[in-house]
Amino acid sequence: MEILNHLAEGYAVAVTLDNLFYAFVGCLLGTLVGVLPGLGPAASIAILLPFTFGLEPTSSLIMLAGIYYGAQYGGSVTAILLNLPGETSAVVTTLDGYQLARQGRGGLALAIAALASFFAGTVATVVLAGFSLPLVEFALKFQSPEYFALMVFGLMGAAAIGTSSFVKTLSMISLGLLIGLAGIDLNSGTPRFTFGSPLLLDGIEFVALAVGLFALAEIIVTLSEGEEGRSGMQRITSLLPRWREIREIFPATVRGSLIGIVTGILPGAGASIASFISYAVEKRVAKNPDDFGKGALAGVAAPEAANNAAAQLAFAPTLALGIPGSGTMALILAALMIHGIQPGPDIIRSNPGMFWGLIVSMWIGNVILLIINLPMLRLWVKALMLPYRFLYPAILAFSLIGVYSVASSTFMIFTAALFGLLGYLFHKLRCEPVPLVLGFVLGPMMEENFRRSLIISGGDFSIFVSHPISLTLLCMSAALVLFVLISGARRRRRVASAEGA
Amino acid sequence: MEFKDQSSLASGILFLAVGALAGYLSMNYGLGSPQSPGAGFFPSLLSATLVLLGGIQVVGALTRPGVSHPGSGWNLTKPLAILGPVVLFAIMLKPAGMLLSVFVLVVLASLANSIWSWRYAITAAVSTAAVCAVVFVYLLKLPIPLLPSGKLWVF
Repeated sequence: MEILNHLAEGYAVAVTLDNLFYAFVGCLLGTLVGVLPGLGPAASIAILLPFTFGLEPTSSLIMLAGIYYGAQYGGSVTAILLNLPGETSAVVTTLDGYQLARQGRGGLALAIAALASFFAGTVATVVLAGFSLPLVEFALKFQSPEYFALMVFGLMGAAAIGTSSFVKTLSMISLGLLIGLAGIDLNSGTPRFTFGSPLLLDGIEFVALAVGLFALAEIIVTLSEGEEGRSGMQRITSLLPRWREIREIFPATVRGSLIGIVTGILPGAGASIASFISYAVEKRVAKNPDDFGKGALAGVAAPEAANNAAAQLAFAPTLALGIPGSGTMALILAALMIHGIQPGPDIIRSNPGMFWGLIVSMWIGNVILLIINLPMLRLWVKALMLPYRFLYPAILAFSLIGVYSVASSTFMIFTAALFGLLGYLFHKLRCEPVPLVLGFVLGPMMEENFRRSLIISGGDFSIFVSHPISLTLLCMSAALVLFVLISGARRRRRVASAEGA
Repeated sequence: MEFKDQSSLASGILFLAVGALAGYLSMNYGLGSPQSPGAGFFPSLLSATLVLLGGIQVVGALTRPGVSHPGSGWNLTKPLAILGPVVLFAIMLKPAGMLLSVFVLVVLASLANSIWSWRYAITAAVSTAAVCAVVFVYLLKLPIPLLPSGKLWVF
């Protein structure tokens, strides 16, 4: 079978002593750097990229992939333990993961994240090995209207997640979209929402926004609610999930993986929205949807599976189409080109050893991550057993330095402070920051595709419904909205009748 | 129910105001036309959405039954206690170098919690500064000035 041939070819490349070593070093370094609050996968790769320059192209790609996964998992670690997501895809993990940590079950959440990611990575590897070319062909069918519709779907997924009122969640999404548009408009050169300041021409940096909205706001809220005495973890014994818990999260993990695979193949928004959509789906199919947001295990397993599957699948369009799915992928693309490798549809044929070697080593990276992280869980848990009041000044220092280091700019720290204040404000107004972040990330891409679609169609808005895939996605978005409204109304009626009775 | 009313009212007003401001700014960026959308096209749509949603929240908050609760109190001391040192850190970082800035940050930030002890704050500040130096500068080789540069107002 062709899959086996490809895997065998990749195996031969990936399982050399050298490459195994590089994969290991990559994963380890990636995790350690990714765990630092404020430094996510993109920053980690940027920092660690020079380490790979002396290596052969395939080896350096393998090490970079290791760094990428390690940093992604590190970002999930901070999302769960500190409510600070390292990257967009970890944002959803904060919802239930942090709640689990506050209940003293952070170790369990971390273990579930690791296991779900591993499962998803395995499935993704098999899918990539067997179906790369057809997948890439499917991805090519996506044009501007389809991308726009996909992002609308992703945003509606974010809206479905919100535990506060639907209108508020939609508002946060719109606000996020607007904030994301700040900076120079690439199409017309007009600076937007910059208030005359040259510092804002590049827009607002994700790290500054995330650190402010999540880390700083969290510190302020915790202190103002008088909880600084609380201790990190109480139960070290619940580190590994029991068989019962594994069975509980298995369906969620499978669903998450599938969603990640389908969305990850699409260059661009795919990886970002994978976790949002899988969380929304889980909440919809769960027996007790009200558990979500309070520490539901599936709420950690599904998005982690989705984002790991999507992250792996994202390599396919990056390599085969030369279209990076995210800033991190762009860095990897740049690294490839530094090594003289030209990404493009030919790459599978011209450089099969590298392509399949990379895919197999991605799976090996997943294994290595599991091996590194499960024992390290005890370390994280011990470190966070200290009462919060001992931890937060250090968290503050690390996050701020991380923010600064992205562009050696103290302006970013000011930005983070502003968003810290906003985060506190939102908390008081019972508005959720997570939908805002997704809007922020998708804003520029959404506008780009919206604009392009209109230009192509000559100003005709019906282009969004005349394209079949786009129409399907928009209908699915509408269905999601209906679900949310109906279940919200049903819940309110139940509460009202319970009160009346 | 009461608290939700008040927060919806406030958030609705916030969104209304921000949407209106954004809409005003967007108009100035050039709307263009559907055939050739300008820089202000998409932002205007978003601003309009925000104003609409804000309006819905305000109306909803005003028409829902329930007394508006004083709420859980707006205490600005905690945000200032944390964000003040953050801003100071940003200002100090380039002129004073990382070691000094982290030290000041940790000492001042520790003031924010209710259980204060000089000994703890100083120890934490020194060790955090040291760890940051080791991790960020020696290990990761990030270009962060450790020592004072003597230049003021380096942005």
